[in-house]
Amino acid sequence: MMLPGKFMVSISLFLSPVVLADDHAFSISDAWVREAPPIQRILAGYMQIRNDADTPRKITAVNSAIFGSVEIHKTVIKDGMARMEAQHALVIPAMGTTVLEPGGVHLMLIDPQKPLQAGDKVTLELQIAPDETQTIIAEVRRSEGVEPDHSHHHH
Amino acid sequence: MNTPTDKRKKRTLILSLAGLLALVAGLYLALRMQPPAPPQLSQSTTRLPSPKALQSFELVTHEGIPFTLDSLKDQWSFMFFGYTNCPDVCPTTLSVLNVVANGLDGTGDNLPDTRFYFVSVDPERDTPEKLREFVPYFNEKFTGVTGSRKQIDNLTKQLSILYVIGNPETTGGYLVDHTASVLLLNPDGQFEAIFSPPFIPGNITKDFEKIARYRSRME
Repeated sequence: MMLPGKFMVSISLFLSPVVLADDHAFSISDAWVREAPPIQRILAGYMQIRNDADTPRKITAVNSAIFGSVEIHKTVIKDGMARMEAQHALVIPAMGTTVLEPGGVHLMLIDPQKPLQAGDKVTLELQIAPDETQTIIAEVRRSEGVEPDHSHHHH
Repeated sequence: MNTPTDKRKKRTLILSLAGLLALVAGLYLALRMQPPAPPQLSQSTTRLPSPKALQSFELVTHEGIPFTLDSLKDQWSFMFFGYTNCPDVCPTTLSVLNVVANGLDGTGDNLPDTRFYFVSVDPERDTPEKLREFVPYFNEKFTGVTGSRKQIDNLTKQLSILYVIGNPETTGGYLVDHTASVLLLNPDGQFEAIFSPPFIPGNITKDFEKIARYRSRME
């Protein structure tokens, strides 16, 4: 019987990307985009990025078909003023986690190509040096204030 | 039978009771006349030792209604300065203030009314119409405020609010740096306290209640 053999091959082909998932540069958790009134043309994206490798890894850019452009920014409060500092890259330390959260490092998602509402899913592609990409899905959420999960992070 | 000794004893008792009463009354009055101690606030809240009176100003709300010094009278006002194209800080702070507002709704507690104002420091882009699409999204009771650059500066200078309009970005827009704190104005329209980030809504609510009670005791 040839059929089961063929069947096995196709299954293993189908499974391979899932197996490869373990080889992804980062473990991403809690990726979300803040829902905003439609008039707002710049949204913010947040997530936790864990690097299990024993070397630091660098995110050089983020792309998304849903936005005109994506930038990495950091909110810095200096002399009482909130300032946004563009980050040319985001280095995730070896065996470490970088948290993107309200009032800190965040993705600036510019010019949404369609209206986004809580519950929508947004695909983002991280470009990782030297030559790797990782696709992640972020959920659009309506924020009701401070995220309870993150309340222990103080800056 | 009341013997003379018994009468004397009774008189002594009455006199000492009267003395004790006078002492208690005196202590009570002394304590009352002492002004109440200023409220103990969390680290990120600063109360001005003497609230600062403001000069008149003229702005407009997102409903097109004039917003002046008189608009602040008879209620406590939380005031935050920002701009609608602000992706992180302003929505985060407005969401925090929404939690504060909802927390106050439940308590009542003889506190005067509270209002929440978002004042734009980017009037070139933030028209009343645009603020109408932005501010009530976070809480329908919140009010957006704007005006001409000169009118806005008249208020920001009095409240020591700073802002810097950024250089145009490649995407065509620009960012604005601005004071991150939330201000509290009292029912006489005076600048009373500053809440600084990182914001913890529960602390803002508690500190506001302490400040408002303290003020009502002082009156």
